Amino acid sequence: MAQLEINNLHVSIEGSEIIKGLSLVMRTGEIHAIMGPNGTGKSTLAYTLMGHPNYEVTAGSVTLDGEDVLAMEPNERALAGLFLAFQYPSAVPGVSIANFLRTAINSKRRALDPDDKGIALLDFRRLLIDNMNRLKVSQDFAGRYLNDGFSGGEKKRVEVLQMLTLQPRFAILDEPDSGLDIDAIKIVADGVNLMRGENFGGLIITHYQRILNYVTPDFVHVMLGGRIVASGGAELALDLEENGYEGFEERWAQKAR
Amino acid sequence: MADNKEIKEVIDLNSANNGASVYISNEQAQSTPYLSGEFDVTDALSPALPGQAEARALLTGMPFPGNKDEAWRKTSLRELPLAQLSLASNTRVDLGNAPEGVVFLPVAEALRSPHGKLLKEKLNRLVPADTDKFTALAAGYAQNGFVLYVPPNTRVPHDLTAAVRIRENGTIQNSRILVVVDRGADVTLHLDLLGAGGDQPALHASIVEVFVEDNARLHLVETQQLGRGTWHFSHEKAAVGANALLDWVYFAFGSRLSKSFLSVALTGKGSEAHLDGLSITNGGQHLDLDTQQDHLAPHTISNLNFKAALLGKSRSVWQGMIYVDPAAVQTDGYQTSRNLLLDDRAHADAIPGLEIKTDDVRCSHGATISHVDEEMIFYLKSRGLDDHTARELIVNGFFEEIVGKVRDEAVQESLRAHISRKLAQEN
Repeated sequence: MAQLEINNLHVSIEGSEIIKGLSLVMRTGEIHAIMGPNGTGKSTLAYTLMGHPNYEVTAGSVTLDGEDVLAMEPNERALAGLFLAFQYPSAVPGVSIANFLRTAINSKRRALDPDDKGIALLDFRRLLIDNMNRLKVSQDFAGRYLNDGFSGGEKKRVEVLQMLTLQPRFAILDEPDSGLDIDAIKIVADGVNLMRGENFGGLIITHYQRILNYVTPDFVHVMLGGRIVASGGAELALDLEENGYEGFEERWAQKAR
Repeated sequence: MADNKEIKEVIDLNSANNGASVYISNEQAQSTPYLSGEFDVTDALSPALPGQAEARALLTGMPFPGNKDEAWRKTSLRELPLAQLSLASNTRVDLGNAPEGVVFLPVAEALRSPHGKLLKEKLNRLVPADTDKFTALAAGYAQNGFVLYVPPNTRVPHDLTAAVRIRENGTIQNSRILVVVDRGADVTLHLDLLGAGGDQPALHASIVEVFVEDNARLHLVETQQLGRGTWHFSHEKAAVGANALLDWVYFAFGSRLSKSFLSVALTGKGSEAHLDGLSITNGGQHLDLDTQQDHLAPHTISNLNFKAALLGKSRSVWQGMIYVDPAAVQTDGYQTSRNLLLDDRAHADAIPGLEIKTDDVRCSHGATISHVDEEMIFYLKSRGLDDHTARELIVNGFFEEIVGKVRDEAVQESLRAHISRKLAQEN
């Protein structure tokens, strides 16, 4: 079992503090959801965990099985087993999904063994086709340029396809449901459910409860003003669905009494 | 039909602060030559080709280009080591096999072939010797070169290959190339300019004249991989006849400094030319490309798409012009230049131009100069790619559109490998 531990994290962007003392412990085998309104720092958390250079950690720590994640470059974090499904992934014109994923797999293999010859083409094709079928992604996607001209739904599906193919230990999914219709949400949820197991921990960041109808989280956290203000089970998500974020802190305080 | 004229200018400088400029200028002023003196041609053989003696007479006393010459403002010749260079006795050109009936021979031999009379008429037609000092040099003292002549309605079943090899040994080696694809014929030619790995300077002046006659098709793949000591000057011009098609793909990797004029004249109704190209420069390389798309007949299409990636302290210059003659109604002319700066010390210039003498046309030009998108780098690194691999993937992707224009997949692969090798070099 692996453990990702965020302890009293403070994060600023261009001098203004967005995350103000956030702590969270995740283990493989668990699915966590972080819910919160816009502007509360959810995406900042996702980017910070992956090591985006624009986000400055001013205090606190993030460790993966005791290793200091914050000291690692983004690619080192990926090799350590972290994955971020981007809310708005970049388009990389001229680079096919197949070429990109093969390069990513081989980067990992070569980090473990500098003499590695890379994944055999046939093995890679089989892996990619299997994963595309599991996500109901048409096979011609393999040759399409990464996110170039993709619809919102296609981008989300390809993020999940990457997750399935790269098999991270911990994945952060930053609003994997935003802008999607219910069929597309189900496909994204299927992808997370396929990963689910004792060797995988997932953190779903979302504004809405909808996706949680298809991926039942073990833990739900509510994030407001750069902090986690409440943690509980799926009932928290249902409360938010019913009553909204407005007045949540007061409601929660009353319940706690 | 005034409404039909669409002129779109896309000049995007948002991510390029220093090290980049895009502008249009027509300034003409008194020019000071970059160099004075003459080429050392003491070892020249007697003139053997039509026009050679005349070109030699022109060359002596003709000034070098200067700093105010429109085409040369961005490319100085001050460091050209003129005194170290003397005319070589030969230039090496290797020609692959061609099928029976197709002329694919060194120039002098080709002119003696049964098609000699026609070929003599074509020689010196598109690029006059008096264009500049380098055309006079190439026309007067080309030691070698070749002619490709494809007779009417002949489809050449396999790709033809020609290699011009320039030795970096302190010599001037010139070449001239004439391609005539006669009416209804169809051929692919791979033209490679190669270095020999020497460490001395060299100068290569070249004239390339291309005729794609009515209803003919030419796929021309040109790859410049000259040595790093070579100064390369070429004037290359194609004339495209009625309903003919020219697909010209141009790759520039090598040379110390190069100035290449690539020009397409759409002379016949319904003719079409595509000019796609890329360059990747590093170290102190300086590559200057001057392009011209002349629409001289109605219903003609030209489309130019050039991309440059710059490493180290290298420089690239692209200067392009679309000219639409009053007769060339219902014309589509496009030009795009995209430049990717991979080093803060690199510098790119992109200078688009349009000169349109009729209303019933669609023309556009666009130029961008930008740095690599850091969000893209972060995205790729988040998947485990290190910085170098991420950049390599992005640059290969940037160029893929151009590489994909080459129809031979094995050549595509070797071009990709060449791009990767160049990216792996220190600067």
